[in-house]
Amino acid sequence: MIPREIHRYSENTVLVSLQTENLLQAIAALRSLQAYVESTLPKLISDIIPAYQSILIILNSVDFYDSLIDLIDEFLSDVPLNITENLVEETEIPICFDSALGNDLEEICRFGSIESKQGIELFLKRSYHVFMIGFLPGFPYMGEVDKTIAIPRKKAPVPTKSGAVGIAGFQTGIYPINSPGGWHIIGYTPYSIFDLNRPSPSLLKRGDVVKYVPIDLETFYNMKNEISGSLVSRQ
Amino acid sequence: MLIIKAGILDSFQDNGRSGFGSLGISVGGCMDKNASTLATLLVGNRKDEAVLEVHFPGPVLYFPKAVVLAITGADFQPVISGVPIPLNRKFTVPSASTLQFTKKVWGQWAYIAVEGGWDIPEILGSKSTHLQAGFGGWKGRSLKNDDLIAELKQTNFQMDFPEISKWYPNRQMDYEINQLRVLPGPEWDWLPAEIQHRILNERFFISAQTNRMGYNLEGPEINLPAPRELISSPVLPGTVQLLPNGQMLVLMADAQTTGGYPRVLQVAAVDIPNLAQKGAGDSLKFELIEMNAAIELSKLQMEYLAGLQSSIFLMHNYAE
Repeated sequence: MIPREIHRYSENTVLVSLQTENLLQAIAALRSLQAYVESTLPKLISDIIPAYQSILIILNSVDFYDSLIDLIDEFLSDVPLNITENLVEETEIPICFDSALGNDLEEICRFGSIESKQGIELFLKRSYHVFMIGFLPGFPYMGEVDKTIAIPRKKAPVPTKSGAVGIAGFQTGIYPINSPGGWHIIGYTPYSIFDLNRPSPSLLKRGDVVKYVPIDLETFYNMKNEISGSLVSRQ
Repeated sequence: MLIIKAGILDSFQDNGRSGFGSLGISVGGCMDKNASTLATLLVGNRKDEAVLEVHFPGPVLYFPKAVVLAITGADFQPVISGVPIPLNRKFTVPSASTLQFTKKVWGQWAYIAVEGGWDIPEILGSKSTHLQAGFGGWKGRSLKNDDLIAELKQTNFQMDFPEISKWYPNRQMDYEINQLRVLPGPEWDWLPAEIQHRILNERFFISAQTNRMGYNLEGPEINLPAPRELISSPVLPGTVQLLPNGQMLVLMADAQTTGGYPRVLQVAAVDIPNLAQKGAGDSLKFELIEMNAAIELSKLQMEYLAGLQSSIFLMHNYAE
């Protein structure tokens, strides 16, 4: 049984926190809990906010808290400790490391005391699990980044461009829109991470596995031009 | 409705969009949902019809055709063609009217509702403006000069002066409190007893750093005994975060869905509208209450709004 805590966060919300350091186990357990709750009590659930090791369930009513707790508790008791994610196909995401786009690759490599070629290799070598989507629409929190290049956040946020691929400690993410950001940027993707014109606006979802594929500057611009959909921009 | 002169932050909002937390999209919606609900009800709209939320300085609005309106929330002394307009009442304005807000008397967010609502597209189930991501509401942004937004209902009233309903709800929303009722947050117990006591007994002030995403508080420094990180965790409007600089931040309507700062308190749902109407320099003290008490207060408020809806509709002969 995965150790957990259930906390009444506010009048109509329940916070379920799993006490496990194993993030993959946490994603798997919380994903199946979310699916279970959504299918069993569709009318009671107003919204769900998933995070690394916890999930916030927002209800349409303040009256059914106790029965929901029983349901959650019972479900989690049955989740085996060795739960793992079902094999998920990797999503390939192109990334351009060219300095012409303006990135923090130098700083990241200085942090790891390595050359930029090595830094890029270390980043491309791994596949990244999407732990959660949060902070901004479609922003994926992924991991885990190789310790050598796991540079912490900047001291203060700076304007960051849409498509920026960032690193903050063990986490990596992609900015869906221009936004202030504190993550160090290793490169840019021409892909649209969040697009309201798509039936599924967010490119990624929790549980996906991402593999970055390097592209050169010309390919980056060509791809960007090809991609018609983009977040509805301010006029 | 034509925007002659845009205010500092005019945006269309409703009760927000639920169901997209997994995509990182926050619910959003009106900062003071009590006041905005009253506005929609007064003009006979559905409870979740969008309203125009304005901050101060407000906009100068021109109505080419006669319309039925209501203004609630903050008192910015609205005036139409020299006629002062009382809050919390339905009123009808003649064609070619100009509405402006002349003075900030109380509050931060005023709501304007028009009978029938405005012609704004629904994005992900709501007309609320997601200002950060730039979608929803009117073109995903706050209003600008020369924006022209159509009302959904056409009217043919002929009149020379605004006609103001003599009816208004007698029980005003209870904003005049300096105690903000709160529940302990998930990280409340990261704080030793002396620090908890401090938070509950000191006075805090709303700083000048306030916006739809959150209100920064100023006050005595509150520090964790030792620095401690919180892995990104879910947050809600009303969540009080403790920042590394020793000050606290209360998240509001447009807060992000997750955050990495300790969540020390949660503002009781009943007091979120109260907090929303507080501005720079206003002070508050936190009052810790039991969850059962918070729920009771929340239910009372919901019952009040339901009752209000019935009587308004009865009074104005609206069809339910």
